[in-house]
Amino acid sequence: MELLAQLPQNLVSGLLLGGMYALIGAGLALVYGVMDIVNMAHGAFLMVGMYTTYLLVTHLGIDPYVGILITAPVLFLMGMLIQRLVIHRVATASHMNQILLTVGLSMVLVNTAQLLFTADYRQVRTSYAETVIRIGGVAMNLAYIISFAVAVAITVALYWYLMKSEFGRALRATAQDLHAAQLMGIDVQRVQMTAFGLGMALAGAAGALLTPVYYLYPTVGENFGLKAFTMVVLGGMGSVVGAALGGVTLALAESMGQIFVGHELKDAIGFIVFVLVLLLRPQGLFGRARA
Amino acid sequence: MAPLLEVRNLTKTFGGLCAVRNVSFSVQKGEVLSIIGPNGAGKTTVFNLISGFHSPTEGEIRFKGEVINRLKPYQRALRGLGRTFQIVKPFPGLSILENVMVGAFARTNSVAQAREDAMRILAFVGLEGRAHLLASTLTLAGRKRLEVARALATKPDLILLDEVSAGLNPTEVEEMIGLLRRLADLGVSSVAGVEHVMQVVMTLSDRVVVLNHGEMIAEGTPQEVVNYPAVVAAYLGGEVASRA
Amino acid sequence: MSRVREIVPPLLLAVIVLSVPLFLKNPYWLNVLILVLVWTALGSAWNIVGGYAGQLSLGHSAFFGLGAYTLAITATHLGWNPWLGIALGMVLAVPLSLFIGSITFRLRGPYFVLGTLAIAEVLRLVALAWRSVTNGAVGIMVPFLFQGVSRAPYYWFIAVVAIVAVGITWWIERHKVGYYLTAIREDQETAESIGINTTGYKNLALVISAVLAAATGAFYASYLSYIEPDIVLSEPVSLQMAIVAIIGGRGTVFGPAVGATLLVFASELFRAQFKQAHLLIYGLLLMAAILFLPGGVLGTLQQRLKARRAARAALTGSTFGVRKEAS
Repeated sequence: MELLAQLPQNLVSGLLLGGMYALIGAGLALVYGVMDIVNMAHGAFLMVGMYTTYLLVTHLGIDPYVGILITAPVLFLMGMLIQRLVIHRVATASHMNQILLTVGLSMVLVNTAQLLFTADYRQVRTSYAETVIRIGGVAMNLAYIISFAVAVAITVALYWYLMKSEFGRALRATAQDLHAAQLMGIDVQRVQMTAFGLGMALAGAAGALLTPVYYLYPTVGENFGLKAFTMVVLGGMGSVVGAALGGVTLALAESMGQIFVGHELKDAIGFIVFVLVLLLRPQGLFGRARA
Repeated sequence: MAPLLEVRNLTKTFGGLCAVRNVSFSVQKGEVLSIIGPNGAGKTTVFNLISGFHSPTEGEIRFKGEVINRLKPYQRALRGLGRTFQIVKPFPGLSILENVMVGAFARTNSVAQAREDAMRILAFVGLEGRAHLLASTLTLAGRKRLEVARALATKPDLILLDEVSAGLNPTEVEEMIGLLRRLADLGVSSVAGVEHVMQVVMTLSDRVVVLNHGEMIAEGTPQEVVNYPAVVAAYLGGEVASRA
Repeated sequence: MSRVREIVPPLLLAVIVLSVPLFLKNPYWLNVLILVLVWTALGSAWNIVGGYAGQLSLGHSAFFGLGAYTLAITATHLGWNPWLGIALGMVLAVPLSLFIGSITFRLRGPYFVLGTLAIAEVLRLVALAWRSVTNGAVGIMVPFLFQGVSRAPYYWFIAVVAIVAVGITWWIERHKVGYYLTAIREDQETAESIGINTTGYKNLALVISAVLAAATGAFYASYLSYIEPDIVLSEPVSLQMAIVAIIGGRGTVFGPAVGATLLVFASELFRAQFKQAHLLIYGLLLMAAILFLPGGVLGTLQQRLKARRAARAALTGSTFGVRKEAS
């Protein structure tokens, strides 16, 4: 069957994309899963990362991958600033207020980008994107491979950092019990700022990695934002690793499902999976049910 | 005469944890039953099962002769099973009167009628002077009374009171006891209460059920139950009981 | 009875609104007012579910789009009379809303919101992909509802829809339904325990909301005379419906009207400077509202008035001196 012949190709493409999705999911899991902040602007942060990379490439001629060394810290600082000025005030508020505030934030970011860059589709051309590697019957775009590798590296580094470093421990303590953490001398304010900054930096890094292989336009992040929640839910609440795995799963589901529903409805797969998981298995595929 | 509420072999497990095991008791029309036991004994879980917020793993709940296991909480309320919550939750954005009116609408569709019924209940609990203040302005004792008033507005035959005296100072407890004594005047024939405050248990209850670790360890009049060694042990520890 | 006295100001307002085209002929201003009425209707529709019942739906574009596309498809593919198309759109909104409700009302907290977003997005993607029926991204031309150059008939149509929407809200607030929806909003579990069929009432609110949104969607399609998925099924539509109600005052009768007026005039004001910046402004206003004025303009005013009146009543000892018990 012709459809089945596409399977290996889509499997590999899905896996490669999955690496980048994993990064997107992990970034949101940090903010939502761990800090319990429903951040509807995660997709917008990704978009900011993409445009930052775009500017670095077109104005300064910096390679998009090298550019992450600039993009990530810039977004980290932005994230900390946004947390301090805006998010901080709803960190303990109801989820509804968090949602509304971050929806507003997303609108501001997206429409500012629209003002600055217009709604035109833009593209960053790199030599990587032009190079295709073939193994067996499967064609792989070099840019995808590099993005995948970098994404995996960042995700692993993140996991290691959260588990082993002092900040990671402080973060997990704050997530479990704010007051106890304060009593133990943890500067909760700093931790929350840093966590949010980190979340934004990760979204931005994911954006940077997507730049060589995706078209760039102001609303590009919106779908990713919603999909990020799908990944977090798939992975089970509170689990950064789970969300990363959820990202890979989602990318695979989209890539394979695309064979049957076509390119245009590919995005719908993720949204339907989202609703189904919430209805049928709310603890996620990989997570344990947390108290 | 058939009991108003009958609970048979009630069991509830959450995951691996058995919160309530094989609990059976009944409440007759016109009587006051207290459910007591140390923290974590499963008392509130029993209430959640009876009022419909959890479904039992095993067992049967009968209200007015009807098996209500499958009914949603609002359906049980409409059949005359009222309930208050341990953590009182008045509707914060509504006035005290409006809070009670919401309960009154269970028995009428008319706003005017609901308002009238609600004012009557407020007078009964002593809150009528503050009818139009926001519920959020009340102290804890006031909120407890509001919580009772709101449940009373649904004209229940049996009301489940979950720790209605918790957190009140001695004067407020006295006032609450006075209020609870008069419930029969409003047509609430029976009361089942989870209680920690012994004063309430001893002075008001006709019968007492004691739970520990999700199981019933004693049942009887208040005087009988406080002397059971098992009950003393549950509250104070085994050593004390063996010396008693 | 004071109820009769209460209804006079809103009725007067309705009469004034309806009589505007008799005096105002300038097409630019009529257009602006039509937009205000569109968003008043949409905001009021959303307000019933999002404001009174407290269910933060960000997927209401589904109903708006349903109304628009039902009119467009029946008129162009089936040659129906547009009025029938509008009616069908409103009828179809019922099963669609019940379907969406059956899924989303099972989701707790933020997942409800995300669920509504997801479903609306799926509908938009389906509309894009189902080219044989919807023409996909190319869109559909929608026939005129009224012949002639004047915008007045269009104004009157949407004015009636908006007045009905606000009127329904007004009625709900003063009857059992309103009290029940508010209880559900404030604390759903407690509401259940005092005999409220929370699922039933939430679905009722959603159905009413959906029908009103569908009617407005059909109107908008005819007024614009062209629709495509990114105009009528897009996320900005859902967001604006919510923002209009939130800024004006969630859970108040005239909040959406106030919000619609503010937002439409703000976007007209800035149109001269930045072309498409109205969404940017809406985003800023939404953030400002959440941070500083969560009850919106009217909501905050109403809460303060209510508290003041209550305190005065308690002081004077009178309990029946307070006239209107607004939820």
